[in-house]
Amino acid sequence: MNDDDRAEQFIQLLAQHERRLAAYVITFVPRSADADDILQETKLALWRSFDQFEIGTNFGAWARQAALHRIFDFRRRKGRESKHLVFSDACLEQLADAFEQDVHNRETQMERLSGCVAKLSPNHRQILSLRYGEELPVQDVADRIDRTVTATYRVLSRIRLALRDCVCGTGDNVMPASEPTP
Amino acid sequence: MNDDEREQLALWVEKQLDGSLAAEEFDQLQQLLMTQPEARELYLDLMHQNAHLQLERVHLSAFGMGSAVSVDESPAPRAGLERRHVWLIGMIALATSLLLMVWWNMPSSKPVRTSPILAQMIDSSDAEWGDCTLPTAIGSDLSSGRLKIERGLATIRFASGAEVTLESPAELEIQTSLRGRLLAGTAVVDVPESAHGFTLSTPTAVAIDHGTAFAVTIDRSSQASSIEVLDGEVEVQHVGSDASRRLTQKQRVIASADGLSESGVHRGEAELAGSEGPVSALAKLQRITTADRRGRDGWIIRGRSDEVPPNSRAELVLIKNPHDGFERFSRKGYFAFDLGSIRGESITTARFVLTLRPSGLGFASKVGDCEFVVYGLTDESADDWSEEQLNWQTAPANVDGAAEVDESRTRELGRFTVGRGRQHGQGWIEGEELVDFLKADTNGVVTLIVARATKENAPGGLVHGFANRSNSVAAPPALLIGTDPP
Repeated sequence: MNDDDRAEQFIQLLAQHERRLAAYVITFVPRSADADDILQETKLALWRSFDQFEIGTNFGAWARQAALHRIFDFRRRKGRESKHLVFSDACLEQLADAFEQDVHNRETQMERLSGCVAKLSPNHRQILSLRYGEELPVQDVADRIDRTVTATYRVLSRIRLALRDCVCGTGDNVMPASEPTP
Repeated sequence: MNDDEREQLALWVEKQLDGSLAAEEFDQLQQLLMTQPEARELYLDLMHQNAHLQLERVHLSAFGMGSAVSVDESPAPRAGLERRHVWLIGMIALATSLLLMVWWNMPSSKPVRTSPILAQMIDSSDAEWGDCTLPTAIGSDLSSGRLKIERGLATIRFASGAEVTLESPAELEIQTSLRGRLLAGTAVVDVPESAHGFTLSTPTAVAIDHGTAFAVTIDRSSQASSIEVLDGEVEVQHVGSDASRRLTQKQRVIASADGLSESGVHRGEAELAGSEGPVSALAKLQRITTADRRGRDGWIIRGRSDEVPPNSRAELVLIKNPHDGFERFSRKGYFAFDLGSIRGESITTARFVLTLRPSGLGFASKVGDCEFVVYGLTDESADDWSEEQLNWQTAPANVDGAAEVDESRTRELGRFTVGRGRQHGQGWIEGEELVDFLKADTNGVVTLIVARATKENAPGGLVHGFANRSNSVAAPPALLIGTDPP
């Protein structure tokens, strides 16, 4: 296989897995700017070692492995630099193992996410929209919906649990329990 | 894990994501994760869900619009890499697609730009977009790619200076700063000196501009293109034959699959792709906003009769018709337009357009579809209201009812409806009432008053927000006026 076929093949594989890979990185490093750096480093590393990748084997797993290395590096760096609250290596390893064991299920569930979001009440969608669409910190979300910060944390966390139940198929109702209307 | 433990963990996740998790809480969380597999599962589910919510913020910002908008995640397919320098081309293609993907998927991070900026989105009146490979927000820089507009108008300024206004439904491909391809619909092209040579191609023709303005329409069924010169000179080449024509002002050709044929510009003769509204893309449209000349906008609220709402800060005009007992929250919008730029021209069509923006006030679920009434201020002596002093008492022709104005000093020009929960897109009126009102103007300034006819079903309902003239992202209130030259 010549070099440009190889490049095309890589681009294709990456395009297929890009979104899932991004979600993987953000799962462990939620801050967008940091996740972005890690993703870029990961993709370049994948390209550099693409020669060692055996076509037909699991590209997603291979890519996650490469990303995980960088996530470890990043978190160690971050922990040293800024006394940031960073999970220990042991804890992160356990989490990464758990993710890998059930990776297929987890990714399939996320295909149902937007459908579940659509089933939320308009009020809850608005709250999610403020937090994610407008990227407001919880304090600002609280101001906009005229609630306390504590109450807003609670609503948001209940929305998350309701969405989780919905994507897992364990809850047919996506109304968070005992949620007072504003 | 019981429900309380689940909620506790979800709360920690919430705080961790918000950067406010205390050190002790963090230690407890880590302890829990390391000892309980079930906690690990839940934690991963929630964090993974968060990742997708971050990635899919487009879905969320489109809530209330019925269907969710999806983000195109794959890069545009690259044509086969060719012959020499393949390696270099391959690497460039790779770099570009990597960056494009990162940029699409991480909208919140600073975009790293390597693909050249070829154009900018400068206006998108009432735009509802179809599948686009480019960003559509006003002010967005555009590289090569496609824009598909399902409703409304959008204006794209190419880096060369050429401005292309798309009238929906239409699809445009941006190719270079001097070249675009219209795949469907109507485009009106305005070309300054700097962009002479700007080329717009269609499936059947290539139009090369040598002058200032032309309009192109592709017929939906026959795929024939109509090219009409509004001003200046345009060269039209037929795709598939050597035929070409040089057109000057008021000339039009139709390019079908077979060849070029001349066509009159007057309506009734070989009308192509009949325009739907009275505002035709082929008419000369002038856009006047409240940001132009003596234009102004503002809103009034009943409860704070002696205060001027902080209009410039909010970037919005707020309008509301509250529930009984909550009359103090009544709000109306005021808009003044300076018609000086069309003095002496005869107005044939007109449209008044407002761009909806989320106000962040009240819940959308507490109002149904909302009808807005637009009044024209006929008492011209009051046209000189000031934004600084505009309030419930001083506002021209204002009366206490949330949906009413003083009938002896105004007249109703039209109504528009905003669907339940909708906080994006546009509301507009058009028609003879508006045209007549504009024509009757004698002092060069007109004032329009907008009130919401529909009351909310319960207190705390949505306050509708419309971009005002200082809005940093959305189009200002505008009049789109078609005129016959004097």
